[in-house]
This record gives sequence, structure tokens and C-alpha cells, in this order.
Amino acid sequence: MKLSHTHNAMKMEQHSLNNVTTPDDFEEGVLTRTLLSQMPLVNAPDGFEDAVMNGISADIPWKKTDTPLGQLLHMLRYNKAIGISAAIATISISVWIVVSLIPEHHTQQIAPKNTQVSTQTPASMHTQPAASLQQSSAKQNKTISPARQYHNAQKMIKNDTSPIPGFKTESKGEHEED
Amino acid sequence: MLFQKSHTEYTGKTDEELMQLLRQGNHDVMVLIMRRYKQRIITFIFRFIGSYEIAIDLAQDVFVRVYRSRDTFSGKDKFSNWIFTIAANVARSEYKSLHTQATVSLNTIQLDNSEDSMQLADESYMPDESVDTSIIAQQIQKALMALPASQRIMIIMRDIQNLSYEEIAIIENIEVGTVKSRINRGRAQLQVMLKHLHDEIIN
Repeated sequence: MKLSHTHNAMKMEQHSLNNVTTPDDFEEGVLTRTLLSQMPLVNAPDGFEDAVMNGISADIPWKKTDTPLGQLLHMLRYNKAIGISAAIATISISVWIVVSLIPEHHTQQIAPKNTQVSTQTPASMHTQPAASLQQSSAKQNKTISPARQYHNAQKMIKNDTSPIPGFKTESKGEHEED
Repeated sequence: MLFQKSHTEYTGKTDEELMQLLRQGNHDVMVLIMRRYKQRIITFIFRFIGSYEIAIDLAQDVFVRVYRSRDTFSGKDKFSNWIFTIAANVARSEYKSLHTQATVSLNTIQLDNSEDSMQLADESYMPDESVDTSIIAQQIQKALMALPASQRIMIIMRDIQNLSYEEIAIIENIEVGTVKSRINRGRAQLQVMLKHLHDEIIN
């Protein structure tokens, strides 16, 4: 900075303000302003910018450049080409996963229905004929006459070859001795 | 690496363009804005408050506010006016709270036009020798601190920061005439306080 130039400019401005009465005052006014203009600038300490950036990092989403994840997200955000590619890749993978999951899900949904049907059907089949048999036997019992029932019972006794508990069965040997 | 690359990319841009980028979500330009303005803002606040540590804290606060208020900055305004408005408000607010805490002798009170406590001068100020190493700078800083705050802030803007009267009027949201009047009165007081210094320099 050229002092003489500044000094002259200040003199002009001081004069235009027209608030000085004596030449001494005028000179002193100019000197005061010259001294003020030469006051040293104050430097920032080391880490000033980092402190501010840390202060605002809470406001910045994913602004954690110290971490690899933060750097990755930062890169994805500010590098359009990489960001768009990553977005497309993510969407594609997501769609692929969803599509691959859908049939499997379907079969899982259908399969229980089938098993339910298969397990339920025999049970129902089992119970239904039993009932129908009971009904039919009841019907038969109702229609058969007492004489016929006696005849059937005699027939069953004759056919039954199983030993009666409490009685000795006749062996072939004993029969021959007699 | 990304940080440095982006800085070289944005070096040629104006402050207003950087703010536009910041508003669009490019947070890295904040570093560049800080590099452009930190020294001026710290100097401005230090000359007004008189404490280096407080000036650093307040300057950081100013930049955080710049970031958080980025959406309120219209591209039509001049960025330097906007940031100095924030800095002036932050510095004034801090000075007011410091001043209300401190016990001030009635003898040291100098009143400006208004009766605001902001007009109180701080004559008990001791210069920060770590910043102002020369005796002349220390004496000028002490004289500045003895000025009423409303005059001091405008003298700093005009004579140290080289802002125009019109810019100061915008920053302070007052008439240009009021700015000139306050600066005149401040200079006159400084002249009286620094008369011994003038004599030493001339002799």
C-alpha cells in the first residue's frame, strides 16, 4: 500500500467532511486515520476452519469425512457419474432380489395350502365313511329280523376256532390215547 | 483429496457464486469462504471486542451462522455486506453481554445519542500484547476501546476494514448521514486520545 496515496485520499475525504477548524487538527485527523489503516490484521489460529466445519458437520447429512463410509457417501453425492451409476446398480440389485424372492414366496404360500388339503382330506375321508358305515350297520340291524340275527350268531360261533379262556384245548395225542 | 480438488475448481468464483453453490448443497465451498473472510472477520471482531480468544470464538460463530443462514442470502445482495452484518450483530451482542456483566464506574460512562447500554465506553481495557506487539498499535486499540461502541464499530468498518459509507449504512441499516456523523465524532475523540502519539510521531 502506498502511504502517500492513502494519505492524500484521506486528506480529501477529511476535507470533504468539513469538520476541522485548524490546520493542526486537520493533520492530526489524517494521521489518526493513517494509523488506523495501518493496524495489523489478526491471523486465525491453526485449525480454525476445522473447528467451524466440525461445528456445522451436525447440519450436514453424512458429513463425516473422517470415516470411510462418510468419504464414500460424500463421493457418491458430489461425483454425479459415480453417484448415478451407484444408484442404478442399487436399484437393479434391489429389483433382482425382489424378483428372485417373489416365486419362492409364492410356493411357500401355496405349499401349506396343499399340505393342509392333503392332511385334511384323509381325515375327512376317514371320518365320513366311518359315520356312513355306522349308519349303514344301524340300518342293517334295523332291517334284519331276530330269527335271522340268531342264525347269524350261531354261524359265527361255529366258525370261531379261537380257544375259549378257562377251557383246555383238546390235543391230538390225548384224543388218540382215548 | 476431493476437498483440494474442489477448491481449485472454485477459486475463480465470486463470493455470491460460492454462496449459490453452498445453497445448492455443496458444503465444501464453506472452507473457501472462510479462507477469504476469516482474517477480516477476526480483525473486525477483535478490534471491536478487544480480546483475541473471544474474537476467535465469535468469528467461528459468524461462519457457522453464515452456513446455517445460507438460504436467507439472496444473490442480489453483496456477500461482504451480508457477512459483516452477521459479524456486527454477533460482536455487538457479545459486547453487550460482557458489558452488562462487568462493573462499570459511572465516571467512565460516555453517552452517545441514544441511552442504550451499548454506548458505554470501556476505558478499563488492557491491550492484548500477543496480537498488538507494537506500542503504537496497543495505544490505538486502547483508544478504540474507549470510544462508544456505536462509533467504534463504524470507525473499524471505515478506517480499518475500508468499507464505504454506503456499505456501512447497509450493514448497520441506518442512513448514510448518520454513519458519517458517528464516524466524525469517533474520529474527533480518537484524535484527542491519540494526541500524545501524534506529538511523539511528529517529533
